[in-house]
Amino acid sequence: MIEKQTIGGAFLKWSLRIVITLFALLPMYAAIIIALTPSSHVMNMQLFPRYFEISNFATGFITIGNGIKNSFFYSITSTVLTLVISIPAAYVLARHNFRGKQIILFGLLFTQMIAGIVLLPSLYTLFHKANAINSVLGVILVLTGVNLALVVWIFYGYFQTLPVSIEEAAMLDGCGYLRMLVKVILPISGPGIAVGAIFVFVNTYNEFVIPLFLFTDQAKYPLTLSLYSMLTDTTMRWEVIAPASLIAIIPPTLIFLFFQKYIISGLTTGAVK
Amino acid sequence: MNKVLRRATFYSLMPLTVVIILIYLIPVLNVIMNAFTGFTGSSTGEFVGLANLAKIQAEIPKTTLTTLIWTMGSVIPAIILGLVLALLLHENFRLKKFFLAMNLVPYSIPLIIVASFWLFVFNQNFGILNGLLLALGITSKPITFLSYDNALTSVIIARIWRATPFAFINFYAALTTIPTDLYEAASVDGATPSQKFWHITLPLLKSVLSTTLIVLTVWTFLVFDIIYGMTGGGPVDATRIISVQIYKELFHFKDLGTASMWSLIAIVILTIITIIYWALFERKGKPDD
Repeated sequence: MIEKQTIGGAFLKWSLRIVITLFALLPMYAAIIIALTPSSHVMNMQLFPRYFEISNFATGFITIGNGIKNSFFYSITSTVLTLVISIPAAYVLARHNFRGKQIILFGLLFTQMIAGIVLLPSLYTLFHKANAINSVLGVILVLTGVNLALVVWIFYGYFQTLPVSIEEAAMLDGCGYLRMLVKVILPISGPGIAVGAIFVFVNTYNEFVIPLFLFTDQAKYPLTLSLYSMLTDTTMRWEVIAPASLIAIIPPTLIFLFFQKYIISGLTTGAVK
Repeated sequence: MNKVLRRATFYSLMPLTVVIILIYLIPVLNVIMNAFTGFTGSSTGEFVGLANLAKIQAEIPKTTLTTLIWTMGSVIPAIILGLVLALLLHENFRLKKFFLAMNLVPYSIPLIIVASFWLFVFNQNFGILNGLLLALGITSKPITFLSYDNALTSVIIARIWRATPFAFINFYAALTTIPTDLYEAASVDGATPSQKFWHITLPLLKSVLSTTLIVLTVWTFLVFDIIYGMTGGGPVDATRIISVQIYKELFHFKDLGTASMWSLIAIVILTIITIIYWALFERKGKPDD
């Protein structure tokens, strides 16, 4: 009886695992088929890839190459800026008690509720008034701003797990505050900072709405907007959209899979609680 | 607190505070002000009371309902699917790492590319879903997944696909923190697997469950990219949620007033939802804590 149940249970478990995983992979599979199809045959139904038109990938890459380059630039600058702003802030929030601390923590949480598109009509008008539409610096600042709260919370949780004793020793040795932060805290905070940096990088790389409202200059488009332009072209070039989409997901996917362990341990130590 | 510390605290928090004021506080106040200001016709720049609300009044019920169906219709299935997946992948089995990685792939994909991927699945001519349904004999002619009647369901499926890994990874991480001796003790007492789930696993996942539910609800409520990329909010108004409405008022009708009124409506509804969740989980949480 027990034997039977476990065999049935195992079968059910494996079926569910496979079905859910197929669901997770289906859209990519559909895109791969089209990405390998010559343009003349795109409209034919294929359940399995029947062609091998690899040159589509070259066309796809050329079409969004500039977008990917821009996205990397925005993501890297925004990640660095976010870290520079959030590490010291999260550190003092985690280590010291002072008036207004609760207000700052609650305020950060509140920003998460009104993020994104809700503020963009205002930001658009403010940018317009300041003559800053198409300002790369302005957009990077907004991209940084929308990620700050999340990252400060991640670091705030992480720094609380570090032992205070090392810092006290360093301070007693006459180490300045900033030097202590850079020389003592940063070297032992690798995993926590990695999680925060990955989130900012990927979030910025994926951002669509902010540049949609604040950029009109196509040369400055990140890859999300380059790809959207392809979706709204008068003639849809499916065999180019497919490889472009597949190429575009490589950087965030690789980063995520590579740092999977860090992210899961980051989640258990304080990011989401 | 000594002087050095006080200065360090001040300088550490200043950049953060400045950016938050610039990117959030000023725009939020601006949205509230603009929602009651006229931007079209003769009343440009004047306080117009509730005139902007009157202008969009006819669209409020339908758009709000669509937004709520979109939100709940994708968040609840994503959470259930994420939880099931976490339970299935948590135990040790062959190929565990492979399954884990494959199911995490959608997690980091840009939403606009989620839209593009699902267009390949739902396309009426070459869409693989129609191909599968026809091959399996489930349907005899291709289904128009992006028609007026089906479009909302289709965009919701795309959203479920993208939200599931987030729920999954949260539950998975939480499962790794549950001490195994709890289960061993329960086994000794003769507990069945389902008893273990309802009495050990689920209660311990409660705080993660509430966080995941609230975060996914807020995020999904304001998603723009998936719908804008797949249907543009159409056909007609079939998938027109509040975020699409905000964009259209601003860029198609050039009306900052009504766009801001929609933003304000979104903020109000999200606040109400958050309060409901909070009350629900706080009250339920009391006896245990």
